[in-house]
Amino acid sequence: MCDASSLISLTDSCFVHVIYFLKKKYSGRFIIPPSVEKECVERPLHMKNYALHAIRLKRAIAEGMIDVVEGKQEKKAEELMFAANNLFFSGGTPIRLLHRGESDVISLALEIGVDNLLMDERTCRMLVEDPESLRQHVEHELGKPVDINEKNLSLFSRATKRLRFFRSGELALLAYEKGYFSDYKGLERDAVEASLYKLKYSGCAIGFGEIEEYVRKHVRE
Amino acid sequence: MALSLSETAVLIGSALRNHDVRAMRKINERCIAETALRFQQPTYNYALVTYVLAKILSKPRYLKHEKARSSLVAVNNLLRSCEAQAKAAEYDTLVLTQGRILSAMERVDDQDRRFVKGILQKARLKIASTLYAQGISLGNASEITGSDKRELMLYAGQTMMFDRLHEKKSIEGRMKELREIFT
Repeated sequence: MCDASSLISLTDSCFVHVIYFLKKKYSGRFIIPPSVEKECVERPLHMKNYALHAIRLKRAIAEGMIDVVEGKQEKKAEELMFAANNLFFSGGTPIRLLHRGESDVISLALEIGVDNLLMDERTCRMLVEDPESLRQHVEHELGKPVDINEKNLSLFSRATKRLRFFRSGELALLAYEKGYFSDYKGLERDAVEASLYKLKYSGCAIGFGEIEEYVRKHVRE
Repeated sequence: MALSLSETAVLIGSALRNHDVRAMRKINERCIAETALRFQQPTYNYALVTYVLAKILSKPRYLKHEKARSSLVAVNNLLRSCEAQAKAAEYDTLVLTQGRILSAMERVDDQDRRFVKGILQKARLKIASTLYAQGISLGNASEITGSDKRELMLYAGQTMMFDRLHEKKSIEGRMKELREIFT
């Protein structure tokens, strides 16, 4: 399951063909809800600076590389969003963290039994994987105490516990391991390292430190 | 402690008259923090106003034009109206007045426009980026500020925000799981 942020990073970095490449080697699917199609294709088709990105994705959908699947459980999506947006409180006021689009992706994944999400956006991912670190970060950034509503945390965590998140950076690395950069002839390692930085600069929530460490240990070893 | 809408108008007016860019930026930071905690249109509009005013005041090229200087006088008067409207709890009128302030500042920018992206669009993007860095999601930050998600991602990618908050799972950890899916 892909959200808008990962598709945005991939198209901006000209890596939409990583999806094509992996589809040939993998029997699974890359799935998006209609809201992501609207965000990544319909809307930017009318924006001069992003129309080409939209066309690339439109083509990928038309060619069956990405499937658009509609969810049926509107109520579940709303419940999930309510829990997420009533998780952190400051001064008695809930902090609205997630957007409907982000909770739509999660709830569709849960509905159709998909455990693996491709998501470059940071907040949603951290809310599932490490809400306490996110709480501390928000508290530090806002300079005000932030409390967690344990009941909503339990509800949200139980609902999302089987989900696994990946970023476009990891997708590019996997493609590298499967031979995506093989025709760079001697420049494969440079290409994959440069790709990680390009994805980072395109908005994939991956740190310089993370890239440096992984490249040093696993690419340049 | 949160500033009231009328107090904010007074402080902005004072920073404007004193050409105090630093004070303007401080008000901007407080408005953004308030927006992160609880979005309210008037507070967000003040965040926009203070960002744009800080930019205009810090760049002498804007103040060379007579029209720009008289626009800033008009902005000062509009801020006084904002103070009165906030005190009278006339929030719809307050938002309209803030809109007039923003339009006046867009005209100031237009007189010496150097970039495709105008100053107001830049303000929205900067505020959205700050909200995202603070922990609000990308989609939320984009929606509440009216900035484009793509532009926000590109802007965020140029910052150090992803190094300031370490994720529980490393690339290595995610790759182990990803390889399992693709075997």
